[in-house]
Order: sequence, then C-alpha cells, then structure tokens
Amino acid sequence: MTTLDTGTKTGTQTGTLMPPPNTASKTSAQVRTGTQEKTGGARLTASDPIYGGILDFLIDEAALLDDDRHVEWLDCLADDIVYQMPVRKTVYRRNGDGFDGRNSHWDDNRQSLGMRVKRSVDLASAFDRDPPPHIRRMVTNLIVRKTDTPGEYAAMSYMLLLRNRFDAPTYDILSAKRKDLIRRGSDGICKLARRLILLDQTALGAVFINVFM
Amino acid sequence: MMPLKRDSLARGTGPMLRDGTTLLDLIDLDRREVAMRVLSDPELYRLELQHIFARAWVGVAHVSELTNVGDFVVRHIGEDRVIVTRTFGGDVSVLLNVCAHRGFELCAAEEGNAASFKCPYHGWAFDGSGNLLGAPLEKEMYGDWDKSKYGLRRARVEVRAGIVFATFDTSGRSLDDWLGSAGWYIDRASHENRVPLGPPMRFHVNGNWKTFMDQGAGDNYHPLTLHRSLHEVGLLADLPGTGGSRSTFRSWNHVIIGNAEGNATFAFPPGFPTAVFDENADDFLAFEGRLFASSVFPQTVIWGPYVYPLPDGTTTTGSALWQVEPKGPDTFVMFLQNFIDRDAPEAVREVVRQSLSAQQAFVADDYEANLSLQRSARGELGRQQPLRYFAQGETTKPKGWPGPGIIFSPPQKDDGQWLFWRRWFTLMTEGAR
Repeated sequence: MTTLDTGTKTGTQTGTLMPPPNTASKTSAQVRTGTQEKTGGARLTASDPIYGGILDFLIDEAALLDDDRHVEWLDCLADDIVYQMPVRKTVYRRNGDGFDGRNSHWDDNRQSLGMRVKRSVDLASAFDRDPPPHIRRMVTNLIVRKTDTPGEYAAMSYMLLLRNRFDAPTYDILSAKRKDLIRRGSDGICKLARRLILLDQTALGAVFINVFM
Repeated sequence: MMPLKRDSLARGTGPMLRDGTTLLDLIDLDRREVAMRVLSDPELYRLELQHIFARAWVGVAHVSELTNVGDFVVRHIGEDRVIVTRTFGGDVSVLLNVCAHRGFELCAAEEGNAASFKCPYHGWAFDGSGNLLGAPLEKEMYGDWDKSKYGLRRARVEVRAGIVFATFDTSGRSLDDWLGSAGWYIDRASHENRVPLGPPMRFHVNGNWKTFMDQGAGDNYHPLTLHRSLHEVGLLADLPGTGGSRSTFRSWNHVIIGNAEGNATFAFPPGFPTAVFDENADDFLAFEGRLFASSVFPQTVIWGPYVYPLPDGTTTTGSALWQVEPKGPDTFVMFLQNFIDRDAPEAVREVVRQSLSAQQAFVADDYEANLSLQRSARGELGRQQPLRYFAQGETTKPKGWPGPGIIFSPPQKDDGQWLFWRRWFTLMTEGAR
C-alpha cells in the first residue's frame, strides 16, 4: 500500500455495506513517511499556553504570506525544514485515502523554498507573481499533540486558501489538512520543522504552482 | 517543404461553422497565420473531439503501471475516459469506460486491480478485454442472448518504447504512420527501462489545449523572454563566450525535428555544450543524450532523457509522459507522469522528486501564456487577431545527424509550430470529407 499515514481511516472496512467493485490495492514500493511517527502523543487543550503559542505562530505565518512578506516567512522555518505536498489519486475506499508520497507537487527543503521565495518576490520576470495575486489563507481546526521529542509538537490544522487574480470575479480555492512538526525553543519561539500538506482534491482546480500553503 | 496550396483545397471541403465561417477563413496558409477564434470557439472544439481526438493515437500509460493481471488505470483520450488494463491473456487493453448497456462509468477509481469490471447501475460485468461476461437475471431479461454483441468499445493498442498508445480510429492508420519520424526518436529515449516515480500530478489550466501543444511543437523563441526568471534566479548560467540575451537564446536552441504528422522532437545539436552535459561536446554522450522531448499530436509529450545530478557526483536519468487532456475550449488538464530507472533506490527517488518540484516552480511561466491567450481570445477583436508564424528557417541537417524528419537547425524559427497547425488543418478538413 502506498498511502502515507494521513490520519484518516485506511484498509478494508467490515460491515454490512456492499463492498466496492472487485479491486485490491496494487503492490508497490514502500513510501517514506510523513509526520506520523510524532503524532501519537498527548493532546494539548486549547487553554494550554503552548497551544496558544503554536496557534499564534500559525496565524502569524499565514499573515506573512498573505501580506507578501515572504522573506520574513523564511525565518519561520527550521534549517532542516521538509515541506511536502504529495500527489493524491482517486481510489476505492478499501485502497485508502489516495495520498501517494512517491510523487509530490512540492518536495522542498530550505534551499528550494528560498529559491521559490526569491522567484515570488524578487524577480522582474515571474509573471504569475506580478501583479501580485490576491491570496487569503484561513487557518482553523488546530489540534496540537506532544511528541516523543521534548519541545517538538505535532500540529494538525485545516487551511482554506482563496486566490484571486487580475479583475476576475471568482476565486481559485485550495483546501487542505496540514500536518506540521513545530519546534518550540525554550524562549517560546516556534519554527516549522516539517509540513505535510494533504489536499482535498486530486486534479487541482487551477495552476497553484508557487502558492505556499 | 512542399507548400500547401490554398487552391489545392476547394473551399467547402472542411467543416463550416453555423455563421458560415470555414477553416480557410481562420487559417491563412500562405501568410502562416491562425485566427485566435480557433482557441475559444465551442463549435470548433466539438469538431476537434470528433475529427482529431477520436482518431488520434494517444500515449495513455506506461507498461510498468500494469505489471499484474487485472492492474488498471483510468486515463483520457480527448474527453473520453478509458480503462487501461492488463488482461488474463497478458495483453494491455484499452476500453471505453462506458457500460455497453446504459452508459454508467464502469470504473470510478483511477487505479487499482480488478478481475472484472461490473457496472454499478444494472450489474452487467465485463472482463479485461471488454467481453460481456454476464448480467443479473440474464435468462429472465434476455433469454438466450448473444453476449458477443454487447462488449465494451475497445481501442486499438500498440506499445512503443514502454508507452501504451491507443486509438479509437477505425481507418486502420498505424501508430507508426501517426508518429512519423518522431517514432525513431521516441524509440531511443529508453522508456522501457524506467518505471513511474509515482502517480501522475494533475491540475486544470484555463487555456486551450492547442496553446500548450503548439508551444511544444518547436517554440524555442519564448524562453528568452517568458522564462527569463530562470536566468534571473541563476538556474541557467550564461554560456562562455557570448553575452546577454543572445546567450540566453542560444542556451535554449535545440535542433527541432518536425514532420508532416505535426509532431516535433527537440534535440541538442552536435558540438553544443549544455548545462547538463559534459562540455566536451563532440564526444560527450551517445546520441540518446541529445534528445530532449517529442510532442505527439494532439495530446502527448514524451520527455527525456533528463539527467539528474546526484549528491555523490554521479548522475541518474529519468523521463516523463505529459498529457494535455482537453476539457472544453477554455480548459485542459495537465497530466505529468515522471519516470525513473527501474532499480533507482529511495535516495535517488528523493533527489528526483526534489528536482521536479524545483522544475515546476519555473514551468509556471508557461501556463501564464495559456491563461493570457485564452483571455485575449474572448473578445470579438481578440478572436479575429492572428497568431503569426511567418519566420521561416532552413531545413538543414547537422553533419552526421543520424535521425529522420524535417530538421531545422538553430537558430530556430516558426517552422516546427507551423507544421503543427498544418496537421490540425489537415485532420479537421480530412475528417469532414
């Protein structure tokens, strides 16, 4: 099975429902894992100050991107950041949720994210970035859990991203669950160490290359 | 090249649109111009599905996606969804994903493994070759019926260089005829030694399929300006001994091998140092190393081999199958399937994934052209505006060039792209006869 651990139910369901057509999962190479090894810890309540600090961090981070302050956004990232948006496919229920990390829309590190930021704000010829698109990111449904590593927290949030360009009356919409690993220093400063973006779409509705989630 | 004479095609042989417009009103074969109406007209789009896509050979899958009996993927030929599957007999079959009974789609997932395909509507069931196996209550419903009459619509299939090509054309035209000289180059891209990196990446682009495919048929002029960001960010270094924009132009200058079938192959010319290959250009690689991409009219682009540098100083190679799936005159879906060497370890796959991710960041430029031309073609004056392809080049073959086709040496002009439009015109008029 080539699904990532995306936190949703996978495998054959038992019960009285009609089974789907006669399909079985295809065998293929094991994929690298997401943040699942660090998601099993105790959940922090919303009243926990650490929860509040992480929520502030995610809101601030989204605001930096929305306000086109991409260079400052890079300061939110840990040096060993792993930033991935796996490809999703439409499969029958028994074959999982369709995420397949063998191929990715994004598979970035600090260096490549820096290059994308440079392209996003600093080049005269990045025509998809100038005039700047109008983008709004909504961050909600945050769940924070402890991990085995002190100071590292697994943060799962929902994101709804709206993008408008030129004088179009409509928005391009991107909706996703994000599974982050947040590293919190003793000074309370948070850095993003991993981000796994799990989209709610298989064939994306528009060209979203270079739109940070 | 033999010029296509306007008077060799009697007016009225092609389709006529409801307002009386014919194709010859939209394409000027002497001046090499096409009115932008061809990008946005819904009537022309329906004719394209009929006369072009329903008759085209399309590269729909890679054989390694269908290793086991019953493995299937669902892909597109034009707007039609097809099931590509490995049969019990070991062949690859390509079936229209529409029940022969009442039209329900047999397969809703895009990949999996199935011993048979059972329709969710009334339960008719088909094997991987499209034969009707049976139906619920068939004795009561149909008595002693001849099941052989009710099989799924089945495409003709040929596997070429590891890629499964299929067509619903009934004229008998072979894949070899459809590819023309491009077949020779596709055979040399070693696709059979590779496997898909993973499932395809897909997204909708609000543009016309021809805008993308026409650029892929030989536009070496646009990178100078549209992809300038690649140079601005330092990803493409200027070559020694030349300066400024000229070297930028040169660094994109491939040999373009066109053909009358509207397909174009890009290849690096002999003696030309490139960013990815050894600078001792005369002996740097076997001929395969010069190949860059082949477009196959109307829906397929075959890339490769790419060379990926690895952290240990060695390299690995990959390739890609792109499809431009039409979704109406104003939209297409980009389908990007990447291939790597069969035995590539996970560490190599990771390098390839990261490299492709970075590549996409800059391919974004190309979609801007698709989106912008589509906006331009909306207006009445915009749709009258011609796209111009009047720059003509020499058909010179570099010394020692081993391959076939109509070969255009650098500096590149509009000839490869014009061959694309001539093919479009030929198929549209041929189909209406």
